[in-house]
Amino acid sequence: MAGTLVRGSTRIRVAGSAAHISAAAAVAGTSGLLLAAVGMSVPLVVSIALLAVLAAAYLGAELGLWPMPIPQSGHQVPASWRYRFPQPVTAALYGGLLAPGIGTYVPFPSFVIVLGASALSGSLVAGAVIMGSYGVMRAFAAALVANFDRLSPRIDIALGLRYRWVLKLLVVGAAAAYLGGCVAMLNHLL
Amino acid sequence: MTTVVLARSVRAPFVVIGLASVGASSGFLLTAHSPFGALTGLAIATALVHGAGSLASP
Repeated sequence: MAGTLVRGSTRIRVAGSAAHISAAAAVAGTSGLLLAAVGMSVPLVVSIALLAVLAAAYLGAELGLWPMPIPQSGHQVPASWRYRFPQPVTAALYGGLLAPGIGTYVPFPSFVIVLGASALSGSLVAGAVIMGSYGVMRAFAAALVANFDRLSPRIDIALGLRYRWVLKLLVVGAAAAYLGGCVAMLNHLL
Repeated sequence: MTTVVLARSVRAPFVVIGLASVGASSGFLLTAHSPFGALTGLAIATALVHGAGSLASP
């Protein structure tokens, strides 16, 4: 995927990155809005209790304590798109496909907490903002790393894998903080 | 060439750590100032961290 963002002149790469991030924001925001619409009718206390259970379950999975199901296709983005469409169009399509997270491969199980938080946010706007934040950051990270080194894209593609432990540490911290937030909110409400 | 590779390998961890840290810190700032409430702010922080974490995808 990063290979698509790294090809061509500066103008093409900027256009591709902009298309990638914009499409990711639009698709992720829409996904969050739809998720929030599904969970809108759940009462606040029940929502937070469910989110606390979800956060605890997937934090445990993140730490390798037990397995949990992860909604994902497990596929990579279709390579044929980069030969079929102009580069900015391909970048936009890849951005849209990657934005909801579950369209490809989910590297960290606790991503399900983000999906749950969006679905049970109780507000369409909040749901869209939560998923939109994920989509924009995902696309921005890909665009940044793809342009980090034009000479050898293979180095950049492996960058996240080589420093996976840093990302894992942050993901665990975020999941733990979210669980703490749920417990604090429950304590406040009950 | 060796210098370029060395410079790249020295910069690489800073790119990943910087990116992930910006995601985390901006998210946690949102937690304190989120118009949707602290829990949604925490969810946004988690989402931002996972967005950066997607770099660990194959």
